[in-house]
Formats: sequence, structure tokens, C-alpha cells
Amino acid sequence: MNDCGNAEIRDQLPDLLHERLDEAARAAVLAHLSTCIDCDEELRLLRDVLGLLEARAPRIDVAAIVSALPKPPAVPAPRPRIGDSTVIPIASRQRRWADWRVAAAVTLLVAGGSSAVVLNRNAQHVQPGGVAAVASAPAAAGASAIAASPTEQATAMARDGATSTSAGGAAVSPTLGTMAVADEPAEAADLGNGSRLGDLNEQQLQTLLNEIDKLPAVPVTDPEPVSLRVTTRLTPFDGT
Amino acid sequence: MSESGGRGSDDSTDLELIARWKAGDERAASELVARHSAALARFAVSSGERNDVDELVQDTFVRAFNSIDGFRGDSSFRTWLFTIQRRLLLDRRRTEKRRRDKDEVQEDTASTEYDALDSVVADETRKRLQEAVGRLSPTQRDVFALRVGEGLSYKEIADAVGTTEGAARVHYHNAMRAVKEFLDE
Repeated sequence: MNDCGNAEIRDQLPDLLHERLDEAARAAVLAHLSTCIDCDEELRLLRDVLGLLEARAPRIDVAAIVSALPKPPAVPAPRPRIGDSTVIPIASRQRRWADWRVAAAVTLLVAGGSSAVVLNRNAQHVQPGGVAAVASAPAAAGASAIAASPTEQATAMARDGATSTSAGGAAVSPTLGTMAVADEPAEAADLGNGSRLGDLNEQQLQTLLNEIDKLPAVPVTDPEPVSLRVTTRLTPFDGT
Repeated sequence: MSESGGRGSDDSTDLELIARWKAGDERAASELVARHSAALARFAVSSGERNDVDELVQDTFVRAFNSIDGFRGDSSFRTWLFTIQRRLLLDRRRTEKRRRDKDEVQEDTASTEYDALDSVVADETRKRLQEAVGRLSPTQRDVFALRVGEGLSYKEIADAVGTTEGAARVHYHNAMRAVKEFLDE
């Protein structure tokens, strides 16, 4: 078996066997083969070798190989959503607890600050004698007085009976509203006959005080008598 | 040749399948094994391996997938698999040689392996051909098998066996001449 002198064609014979040649190269090799016995014999030899290799190769169990392969790299798990019944990582729980603490602090600041503002404003409006007048004023009067007070959103919410509030945590407690009502200025108190303390002049006020003085004294509940048991120890006096 | 071109029944390239496997798709691994296992088995047999070929092919895939990040795509995935399998074969031969030396059995490994397959060879021509290939040096045999059996280019063969493109060409032509001379005797 001789070697053909055309090394370029001989190099391409395995490519022809495996159909790896483009159209032009394939046509050129086939044209050469039609006239070259040596290359034709070599191509036949190559086919025999390929047939031999394929015949001797055992069948491979693909499934067995696949089962022995390592698992693919781990895919990162998606972040748990709200409502998922998955375990919440410690870091997430700590963050959630911190969020609650921040919300509570904001609520405290808003409520405390609002009450301080309301109390401060009311203190400026209180006049001498106002506390006593307010103390005797009915609750309804107090409520109406609140409406007449300077605009204070928190106080208005309390008047409307809002006991708490929005989800943001900015809350005004009912206690705050009550405090505002109790501290309303004296001129807002109704005396019961249509007139107000603020409408009285100095002489009328004096007259009113005199009438109050003439009223029978309110019986004072005496304190329960305390029975003291005194135990004395008599010692004989010896006169010295 | 569609197999070695990196596409099979899935119609995805080898690189696409590797990316899918890395993303968690185990079916991509099945496709890669189905696409290249037969070629690896042929190469193993042509390299003189007759025992536990399926185990060798499996070891090749396991090692490849364990070090898949080392595959840069500079060569084809099949060429990279041939490289891995060839290293495994060399390791096996060294181990086998040590064992034989210990047992004080001196034999021509290649010809013995091929002679043992006489029953498989159907006729005298195939038997002679098998013996001719078996007489090649290990490197000549690997180059010859990859060129004839798999249709790899000299560049791909050079990558697989760790040599230059020119050296691979010389190995092939020397192997071809040696086979012809044996058959002409």
C-alpha cells in the first residue's frame, strides 16, 4: 500500500470520513479520489479502522453515569415572603424587633410631644379662678370649649372620640383629650344661667363670692375616730 | 459531524448545557453524557483499554463535572473530555505496570490487550488491522484514534494529548505508515 504524493488531500481524508469538510474542499477531495488509487485504498483503510473502533466499543449506560455525577452547584434560595411559613433567620428577627422598637419610640415622642404642646398652650390660657370654674362645668361644656380652642389636631381627635389612630403609630390617647378638657380656661365655663364667668365684672364677681359665703357650709365628713389604746405601765412612786 | 460539533438531540451547544447544569438543571448533564459517552468509549478501546471501559468513561465524566469550572471553552468540551480520559488512562497504566512489575510478569501490554480480543474480530483483515494499531506507540495510537475514530483536527488532538499541532500531524502520518507496512507484510 503506497502513499499518495498529495499530502494535502491525504490530510483531509479523515475529515471526509467524518463529513467535516465544506462543499468546495469535499468536491476537490472527491475529484482526486476518482483518479487516485492510493488515496482510495487509504480511505478504505480508514473506514475499516473506524468500523473496528465502533465495533469494539461497548455500549455505555448513560443513566448509570448520570447517577454517579455530582449534583449541580446549589442555587440560592429565594427570600421568604410575608406569609410564608418558613423559619425566619435570626438576623431577620432581630431586624424586625428593632423596627418595632423604633415604631414605639416614634409613638412615644409624638404622643408626649403633643401632650406637652397642648398642656403648655392651656397653661397660658388659664386665668385665676379658672380651675374652679372648669371643675364645676359640665363635660359637654368642656367638649365645646375644646372646639373653641386653638387648632390642635391631637385635641380634636380626642374630642371626636378617636382613641387611637393610624397605622403609623402617631397616636393620641383618650387620656390626652381628657386632660385638655379639664384644663380649659375659665372663661369657657358656663355658670348654668347662660352667663359665663368671663362676662362678669369685678363687682358682680364679688357679689357672687358673697352669695357663696352665705351658702350653708357643706358638711365635712369627719375622719373616723381613731381609738388609740395606750398602754401605760405604772410604776410605784417611791416619793424620791 | 453533529456529535463533535457540540450539538445533539437537545439542539443546545455544549456550553449552553454546561451553563444549564450549573444553574441546577440535571437533565443538561444527561444530554452531555449521552452526547459524548460513545466517543469516549471508542477512544478508550482504541487506546488499548479493554477492561472496565464503562467505568473509565464514568470516571471521566465525574472528574469533568467536579472540575467543570476549569473548562474555559478554549477547546471543545469533547476534546477536554478526551484530555481527562487520557490522563486517567495513563494513571491506570502506571498502576497496572507497577502491579505487573511486582508480579514479575513482563509482557507487551498493548499487543496483549489486543490479542485478547481475537474472538471479537470477525475476519482476518480486521484481526490484522487490530494488531497493526496495537503495535503503535501509545501517543501514535491516541493521535491515530482521535484523528480516524473521532475526526478531530490536529489542533484539537494537540490539545487533547498535550502536544503541538505539527507534532500531532507527524504522529498521525507515522502511525498511518506503520499500519500500512504491517498490513503489507
